[in-house]
Amino acid sequence: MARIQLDEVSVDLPVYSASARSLKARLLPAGRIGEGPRHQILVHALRDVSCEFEAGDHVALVGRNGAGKSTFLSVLAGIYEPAYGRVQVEGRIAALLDINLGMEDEATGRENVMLRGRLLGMSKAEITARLAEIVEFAALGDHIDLPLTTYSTGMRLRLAFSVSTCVAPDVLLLDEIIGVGDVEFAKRSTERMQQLIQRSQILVVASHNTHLLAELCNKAIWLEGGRVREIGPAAAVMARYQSS
Amino acid sequence: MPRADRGLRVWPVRYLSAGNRLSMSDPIPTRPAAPPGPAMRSAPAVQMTGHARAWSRAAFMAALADLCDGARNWRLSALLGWSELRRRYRRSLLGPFWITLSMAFFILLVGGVFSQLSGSSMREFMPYIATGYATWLLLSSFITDGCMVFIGSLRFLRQMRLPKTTFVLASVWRDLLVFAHNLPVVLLIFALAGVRPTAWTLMLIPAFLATAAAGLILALVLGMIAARFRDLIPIVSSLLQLLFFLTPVLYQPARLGRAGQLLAFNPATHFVEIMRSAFLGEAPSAASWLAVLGMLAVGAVGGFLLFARFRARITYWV
Repeated sequence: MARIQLDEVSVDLPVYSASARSLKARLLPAGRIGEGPRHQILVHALRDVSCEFEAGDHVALVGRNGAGKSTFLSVLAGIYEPAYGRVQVEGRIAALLDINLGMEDEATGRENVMLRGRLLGMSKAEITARLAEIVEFAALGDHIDLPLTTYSTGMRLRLAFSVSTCVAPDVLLLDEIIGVGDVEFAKRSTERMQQLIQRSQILVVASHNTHLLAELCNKAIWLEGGRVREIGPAAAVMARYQSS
Repeated sequence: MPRADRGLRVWPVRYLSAGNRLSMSDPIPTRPAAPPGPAMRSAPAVQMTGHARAWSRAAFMAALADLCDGARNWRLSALLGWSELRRRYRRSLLGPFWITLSMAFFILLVGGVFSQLSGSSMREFMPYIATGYATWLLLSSFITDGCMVFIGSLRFLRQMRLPKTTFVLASVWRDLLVFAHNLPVVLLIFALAGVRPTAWTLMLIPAFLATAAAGLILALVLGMIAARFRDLIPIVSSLLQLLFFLTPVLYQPARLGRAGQLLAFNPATHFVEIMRSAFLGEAPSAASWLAVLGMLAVGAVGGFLLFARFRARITYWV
């Protein structure tokens, strides 16, 4: 069973200024550097965040810009290991934070599907089996054998989207609902996204589109300045978030 | 109030064997009493970023799990290494064989000049310089690419959870592929100079494995240090040039007399020596093998300790 539990998780992102970053700051006697580098600058991205989600929870992650939404998703995905607190995520995680990750301009569409699929944890056989379906869904046709540089922005996104949504995770993490392409494709991609969401047991989605979140989610977590401002049923939390 | 004084508990993340799960099954390490002032100042980078208790058992288990997961996912490393190499040479006519060509020219021209300088025949000197130079190129690519292991994987590190070892393996694999492209030149020169394999040629296998192991350690250690201290990259690239002239690639150390013995302090000397003797089918120097094995042992232990201590910080550094 998929489960997410965070206990008093804090993430501090250090700022390495050019001088602090250099060995020379370490090698020179302290008096010549001054006070600065001794007190490293930290950005407190998350402070004492605690929450718990079970299978069946669709969680809306709301908050202003810079509230820590992306860092929160990164922590759930296991990218940033928090210095304090405890993270416990059970189940296969799929984090669709950057669907273009691993796509290479000079490589053909086919090679990109392979690389992207492998990064998502699919085996070579799995990708080969699903290749036809991916190409068909992305509506690329013969372009699949051309390098990505020849693709339009829309084609590129469609390909990335088609591969990325092949996964079958227990925990799905989304940074903004991905809507891509023209009207026709947008409709199909919404359907596909919905199927993906239904396949997964827990969904955590960060977005500014409150209408969509209200439709999708049953729970909500509201971050402010890296702290949890409120957590609870989606409708209540979102209503207060919007009126704030 | 500083983070360090708040008495919070530390729960390092670790890998589980099944896929990319996070779990915290370890007992909760409790924060030790705050060390006195001077001791705190000696390790400021750690204290201030709030990463306490890094020497915990959990940190070691996580480092070990990372290595195992990386090794188990070697296919992904091979794919990443290969596609990076392909990316570098895409649309070029000869592709990676440019490396082969440039090495062939170097050996032909520089080798020709230095064989005159050293007064030995081309037939004797060419295999010597070809094997030495191929090994040197491998070592220097380990070092320069090693510095870029984590910096170059920034996008991956920031966007998804993969074992850090995956990037180390990918970098070493790419360098070995380049090395394989240089081998035809060596073999061609062997054929022309009439170098025949002997029983000692079998030493190529352990010599190659030892050099590859050194590559893994170099990539891991240099990759971590360079991610934190960016000055390492220019330092390394300028030292590398110096190191080349202090490595017996273009000359024989015996000709330097007593000064030649000083070259034993250069680690690269020993790797070049074990690889070259195996290539040429000669008995290797026992001292060089001992030095290599000693360096590997120290490097493996030191590298693992460094990895266990700072693995979780790599993502923050890049």
